[in-house]
This record gives sequence, C-alpha cells and structure tokens, in this order.
Amino acid sequence: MTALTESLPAGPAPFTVGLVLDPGGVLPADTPPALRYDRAYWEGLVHAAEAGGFDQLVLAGSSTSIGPGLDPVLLASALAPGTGRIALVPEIVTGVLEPFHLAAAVQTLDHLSRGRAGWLVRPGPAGAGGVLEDLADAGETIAAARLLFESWEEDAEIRDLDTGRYIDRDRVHPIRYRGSRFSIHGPSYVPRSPQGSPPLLVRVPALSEAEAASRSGRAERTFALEYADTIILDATTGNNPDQTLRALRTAGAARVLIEVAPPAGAEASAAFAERAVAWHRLGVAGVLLRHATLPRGPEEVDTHLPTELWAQGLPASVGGTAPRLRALLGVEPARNPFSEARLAKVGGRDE
Amino acid sequence: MSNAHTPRQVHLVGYFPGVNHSTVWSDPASGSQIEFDSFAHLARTAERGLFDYVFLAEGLRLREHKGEIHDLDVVGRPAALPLLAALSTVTERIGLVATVNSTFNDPADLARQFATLDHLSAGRAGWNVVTSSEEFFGANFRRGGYLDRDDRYDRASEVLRAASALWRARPGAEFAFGGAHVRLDRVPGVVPGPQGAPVIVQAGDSADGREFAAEYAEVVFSPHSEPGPAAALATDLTARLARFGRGREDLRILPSATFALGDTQAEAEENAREIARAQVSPQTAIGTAERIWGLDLTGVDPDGPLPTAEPAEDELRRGQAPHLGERRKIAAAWRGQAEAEGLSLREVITRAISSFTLVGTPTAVAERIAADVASGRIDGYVLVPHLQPHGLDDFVDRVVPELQERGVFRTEYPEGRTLRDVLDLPRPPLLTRNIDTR
Repeated sequence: MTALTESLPAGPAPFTVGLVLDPGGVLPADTPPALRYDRAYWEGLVHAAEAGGFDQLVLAGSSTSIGPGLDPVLLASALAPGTGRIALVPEIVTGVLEPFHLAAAVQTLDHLSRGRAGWLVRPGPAGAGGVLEDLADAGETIAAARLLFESWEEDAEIRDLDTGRYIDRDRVHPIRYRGSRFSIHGPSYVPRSPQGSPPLLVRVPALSEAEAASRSGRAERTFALEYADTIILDATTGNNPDQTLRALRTAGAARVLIEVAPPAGAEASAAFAERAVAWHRLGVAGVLLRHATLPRGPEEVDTHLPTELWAQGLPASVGGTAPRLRALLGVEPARNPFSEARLAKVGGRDE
Repeated sequence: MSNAHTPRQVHLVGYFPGVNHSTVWSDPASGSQIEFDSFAHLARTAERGLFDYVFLAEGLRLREHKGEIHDLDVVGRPAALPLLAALSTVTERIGLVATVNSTFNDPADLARQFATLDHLSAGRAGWNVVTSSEEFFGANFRRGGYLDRDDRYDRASEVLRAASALWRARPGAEFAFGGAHVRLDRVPGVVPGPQGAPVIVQAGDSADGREFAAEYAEVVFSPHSEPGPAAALATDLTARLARFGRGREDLRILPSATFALGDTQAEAEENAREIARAQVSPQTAIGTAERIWGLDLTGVDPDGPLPTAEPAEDELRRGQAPHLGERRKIAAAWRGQAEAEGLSLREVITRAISSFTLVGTPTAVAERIAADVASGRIDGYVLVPHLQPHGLDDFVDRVVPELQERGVFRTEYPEGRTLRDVLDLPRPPLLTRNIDTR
C-alpha cells in the first residue's frame, strides 16, 4: 500500500533524538521578530534537523507558556511535503477546539507526511473548573479523536463500477461518542491515514517531591499515564527528572522521552551522552532537545549531539528507510477494531 | 479597473473536485481523492494558468441516504486548512481559499489559523465563510444544533468581527470581545499575515447571505451563471453594496462553471454527454430521484418513466437535500420535461444535474467568458472540473491562451504578491471600515 515501513526491523528499539521548537518562542535579540512567521525559516530548520539525524521535530511551546506564533498543526502540515524522514509532532491545546475538526487535521497531517505525524496534547482552559476540568475535557477530546481516527477501515474505498459504489459503507462507521462534555456522531470525513491512529504524546514536568505529591501534579501524571502513547518528561524545569522517571515507570509508563536543554560545549556533550546511556538502560526511548531561544537559522541547528549519542553505542533508528512514527517510538501498529472484528468472524467460519 | 481601452478583466478560480456527483471517480484517469500529489497537481496547473486562487470545500459530516452513508459519490477528503498549508509550499503565486463554517468553530482559533495560512503563503490566504444551523451537522460538534436558522449570519458576522478585531489587536495584549453569539475573554492576540486579513469569500444565496456579502465579502461564489439570474444578482448586490459605502468594483462575482471542450462544437457536446453519463450512473439517477421525491424507489427502472407520486416530507438524503417546497418544484419541472420530450428518469436527471455551463471549442468558450465578463454581470468563473487531478489541464492549455489573446486575461501575475493584489481589490471592508467590536 505504501513505501513506508510498517515496523522497524527486529533489534533493539532505537534511541530517538528529537528537536523541540516553539513557533512562538523567543528569538535572539539581533534577529527580526517576523522571522518566526517566515515559512522559509522553518523549512531551513527542519531540513537541517532531518539531515543532521534528528528523528522528530516537536512544535510546541514551553510547558508553561505559548507565545504568539504560527499554528503548530498548520506549520507541521507545511513542513510535511518537503521532508521524507523526520516525524512531525505539533502541540494541540484542547479546551475550546472542536474534537471533530482536530481529529481531521491530525489525520490530514498523517496523510501529508505519509505516516510521520504525532500529536502532543496540552490540556488547555476548558471552563471555570481549573486543571481538573481541563484534564477532563482533554481526555474526552482524545477519546473521541481516537474513535474518529479508526472510523474508516483501510479498504473502505472500493470504486466498484458494477454497483456504482465509491466506498463500501459497511467499512465506514459512525462513532456515536457520548461523553459528559459533548457528543460526536461521526465518522470522520477523512479516510483512514497511514498510521491509522497517529501516536499521542503528553508532557509531564519533572517535579520536586512536594510538587509531585500535589493534587494537580498527581492528576497530570495520571492523565498522561492513561492517555499517552509516549510521555515526554520535561526536565527543562530545573528539577532532576530521575525521580519523576522512576515514578512514571513504577506506574507502568511504557515509553518515555526526556526533554532537556541541549548541553553547551564538548565537555557537557560528553557528560550528557553518558546520562543518555544511563537513561537508555532504564528504558527511556529517547531525548528531545529544546533550546532556550529559537535558532537564527539552519546553521544553528546543532546536529552534533545525535552523532555523539550514537558514538556512545546508543542504537540509532535505521538509516535509509522512513519509519512511521509509531514504529519509531516502539508503539505497536494501530489496530482497527472494526477490521479485527471482521477478520475474527471470517476466521470463525473457517474453523 | 476597466476603461475604454482595457476591457474588463477575467478572474478564474480552480475548484478541487470533491464529494459531489459531478466528480467522476469511475474514469481510469481519476486519481486519489486524498493524496497530496493529486491536490498539488491541480493547484500547480491552476497556477500555470495564472488563476486567482484554488478553492476547497469543507466536511462537516458524511452525507447520508436512507439512513446510511451515501456511497455513490466520492466520500472523504482532507481537512482544508492543513492541506492548503501544505500546498503553500509547492506553489508561489496562486491564492489558497478554504471554506470554513462560522457556526461550528472557535473564533479565536479561526483567527489564528487563517493568520497562519496567510503567513505560510506570504499573503495568499482566503476564507470562504459559510454558515449552517442544521442539527444533522451539529451532531459532530460540541454544542450540537444550537443555532437558530435565522441567526446564522448574525453569528457569522460576530465571528468575522471578532477575528478582525484579533487581527487588529496589538500582539500579546489582552483582548476581549463581547457579542450576543461570540464572547472572547483574555485571548492572546494573533499576529496577522501580510494581508492583514484573509480575502473574504461568501457563497450563500439567501437575502441574509447577500447582505452579509455586501457588508464583508470581497468575492461572491455565486450559483448563477445564466445571463438573467446573473444580472439580477449583480443588480441586487450593487444596491446592497451602496448601503455599506461600497461599489460593484469592490466585489468580484464568480459563478461556478462546469465545462466540456472539443475541437468542434459537436465534439464538445459529445464530450459533455459522455461526462454526464459517467456522472449519473443508473444508481445515481435513482438516488437523486429519492433525494428529490423523499420516497424509497428501490426496484424502479432508471431507464423508465418518472415516479407519479408527489414528493414526500421525508428527507432521504441528509446533508444535501433541498427543502420540501423546492423539491416539489423540481419534481414538477422534471415531469414536464419528461412528458414534453419523452425522456426517461435517468435522462431527465442527467440533464438536470449534469448540464454544463461552458461547452464548446476553446475559442467559443473563451468568447463566451469574455462576453459574460464584459457585460459586468460577473467577473469570471469558478471552474469545477470533473476529474481529480487532471481536470483543469485542458482548460489551462487551450482556453487560457485564447483569453489572453483577447486581452481579457493576465499574461503574468501582477507585481503585488498577495491574493488581494491578484484579485485587484484595494479596499477590503474588514481592514478599511471601522468595524464595531463592542
């Protein structure tokens, strides 16, 4: 069906290295502020990152703020056709967005990137109920979007000349989602995308012991554990991530990426590589690098670190092929429940 | 601007063929309706033909027929804004216009998305503002079918005013908007793109829709291509525009047009018949009759006579059914035609839903377009091809040079690089008028 590999060859899961860029982020003082609205600027950055071995580009604000900037989903969509290997993960702030539109946009990004899309959900203001209401709304949005992702089976388009039918409507399903905040009839208007269900990332901050024990800290962690395919542990907060990492692993988190400020200089890079090796031993799936300011241009995208990490023996993702993001992150291929039910029935008849 | 020496100029728009019966998916040349390359080809072809913009419709819910998903036409499409963002990278000059509903979207989110598309495309974004109030569509959205039909354009107007206020606000400044339909509190401002605001397109033909167009729109996507109705629309819009201090020259009126070309008139007509036949399969003929009559016509012969019963109240087609009064009128007209000319059900329906606006040699089609535009009734056409992705190839290769030869169509894009420059619209209402943001 597609040139992209469904899964990576057998062997150790790769240690992925990603770049986090904030479309609304701070630019160095000597650059024109309009640079962040320039498409060519972003194209330069993503090409440099892709050529330098980065596996994914996450387009997201810091975990505490979002500045004015390009819409991350549209920016990722614009970067998709011109890239071939790097995964594209835009941040989506839930709360007021329509889950139906949001699901269609993520599916479209997955089509545009031929299976390299992910989505990073940040629960945003959903009402007067504070963090808990925000998390409830984000949870419902995710649940509904995932049902919409799966509402079309892969082989729904048939173009059958004899019966005049473009689709087999038995393979396109209303979702009839009924939550406590909204209902969605479905199906999506976007046909099933290459990954089916693009992987969902949720960020949790590395917390001090006191913060980790707070009600909202616990709620955010529970939310991430419940919904995320991969958790981003944000260690740029200044707190040591190791304790939160242990807590997440104890609670059963399968895949964790650690977000850090990139080390400055050769010495720091070497020390960082050692830490990364230790994280890898603990089962961490990779690191995401976030600079404090946006680069001035492609020449400032530091591609030294991926090389350094792989020199330390960390397994790189296989060069030459373009894995889907789910495969890259070690997330199993999405299984369409409707197709599986159909196959089970056929199997039953055979027995 | 036209004067004695330069004839009124033609504007052309390319429509991505989608989920309507007019898109022929059974042709061996018919490509993917979802892959990027299909859309990229059509957009690049339109750009090669120096079109003003390409235009994408919107999905709110798959159409349903007799309670099930309608399966005879193309089903499924990409989301408009992400697709256009991607197309901005493989085109340089052509405008990118997305149809987006004002009822089922958050205004601040829309303001940010259209500003983003305008940035990404360096000033080529447009917004075809459509409205809806139907429960059928509302079932896919947070608030359901919350809006009264009569309030559609009140809401649309507030959404536009709120977006416009956001585009004009100082970035980073806290911002609030309070209306009857739209309330925004403490929304971060968005930085507008090169155009300040996207070009506003309007497509509704109701009195409210026309009033909305006169107040805000820069382009009207009209259903009226025939001289009589087109002239009536232009007269009506001109009168309405005056009430907002605007003139006919501040608005482009672009009706949709289907087309069939040939080396001779006879060949073009034969091509038109062939396309129509592919558009209206026997199943589509029955499905269309069911849509109009509201009756289950399973087992009826498409090559036989029309149903004798009157259209029933039931709407068998959801998401694409005219109101009962309209359906009765259509049924009566079809019956009259069938009796007068001895036509079968499929023949009548083919003629009704697959008649072509422009049929002829490239020369004849170019002459027709030039004459229509010279009359002042319209400013050009939104061309609706029957094939994705090659449906505009012939038109661009054969008709565009004929238009250029007649001096009615550009031979290169203008110096100004925005969509508004290409449309030659210097006075956008959203940016030049004092709009009440309360």
